[in-house]
Amino acid sequence: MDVDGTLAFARWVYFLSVMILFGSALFPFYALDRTAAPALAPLPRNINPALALAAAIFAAIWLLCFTAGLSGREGMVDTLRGVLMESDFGTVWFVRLSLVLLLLVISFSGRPELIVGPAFLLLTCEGWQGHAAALGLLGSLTQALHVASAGAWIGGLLPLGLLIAAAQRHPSEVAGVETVLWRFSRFGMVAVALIFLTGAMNTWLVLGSFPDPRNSYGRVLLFKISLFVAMVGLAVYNRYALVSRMKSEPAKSLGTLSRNVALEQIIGFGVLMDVSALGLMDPYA
Amino acid sequence: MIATLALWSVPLSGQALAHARLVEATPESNSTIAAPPTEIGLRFSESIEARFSGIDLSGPDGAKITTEIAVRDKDMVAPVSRSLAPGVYQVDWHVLSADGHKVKGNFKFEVRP
Repeated sequence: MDVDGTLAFARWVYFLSVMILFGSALFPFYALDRTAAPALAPLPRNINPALALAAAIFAAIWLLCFTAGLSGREGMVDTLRGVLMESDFGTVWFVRLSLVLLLLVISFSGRPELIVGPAFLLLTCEGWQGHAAALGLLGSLTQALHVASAGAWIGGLLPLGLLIAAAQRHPSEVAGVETVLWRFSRFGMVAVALIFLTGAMNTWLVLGSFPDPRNSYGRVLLFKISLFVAMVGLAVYNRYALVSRMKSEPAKSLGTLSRNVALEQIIGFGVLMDVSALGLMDPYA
Repeated sequence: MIATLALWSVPLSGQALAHARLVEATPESNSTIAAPPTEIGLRFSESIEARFSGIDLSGPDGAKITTEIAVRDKDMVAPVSRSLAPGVYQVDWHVLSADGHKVKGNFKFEVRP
């Protein structure tokens, strides 16, 4: 396995930041009422600038690591000019860097709802870079949808977890949180279905077969699929076992839900760590 | 859940893509040709980036023969500006494929009138 660790780490922090920005900004649109109580607020606003700053810094590190990997006899500056001005990657990088800077400005505006559009476009950029870029328009579209759906789900878990924690502190909010949980659950089912369908399609386009556990790429992809299945398993348990018991055993259900949502987030971060390396690997090595 | 696993287990029969692979070379790898080639032509399995791709041609004595390249989508061509003397030549190629990965390789051919 030949993967640049710094490059993979930069991609991980970048994906993590943009997905949380997107998912948490999208969350109020489908999960909250306009009349929601103050305790049912989405992500605290001071977190957005930090995430946008992290996305900007690690996008730049990603670009520099990618450039360093290409610079042979010529220097970094000439190679960077070549990447940005004389290759097809340049367009994607110009769009990505512009959107990251726009996100940074918006994150300081105090209007998190404006984050949704640029963060969505930023995630869809992944359809035009990496393995998907070589697969034609179908590969690009499915990859863009795959990444955006993953961002909506994984990013939405953070405000959901904060709401559950708020309901644990304020029992009067339990009914409101139960409504939010049902809405998130319905939204999550659509997101998971899209992640699954687009993931299966991309696997078919890239490998043409089931991932082979005998090679590194196959093992890393199978590990990603295992993590995804674990997340779906937790989500199913939350929906059918815990949310249904909210009325009869609110305190106990909320406690277990809080722990499970935190666990889902940790597994989701693991999935992103996996794909950060997977995108750099040769499917046939 | 079971449906998810079952669907992912279905044998799929698509054409594997991603990462450029050399699919055709002119002259062919390990071939013997009577007439010196006027160009080295390589075709890859996916689009390549001209800016970060190239061909190095080495003569029987190991000396490099300067080659400029022209790239069009999946094809890379390097005109050979002078007539090659009899002997074994090595082609070292490197490309940056559309998926952003560097791939390189080499092969030999012999000119024997």
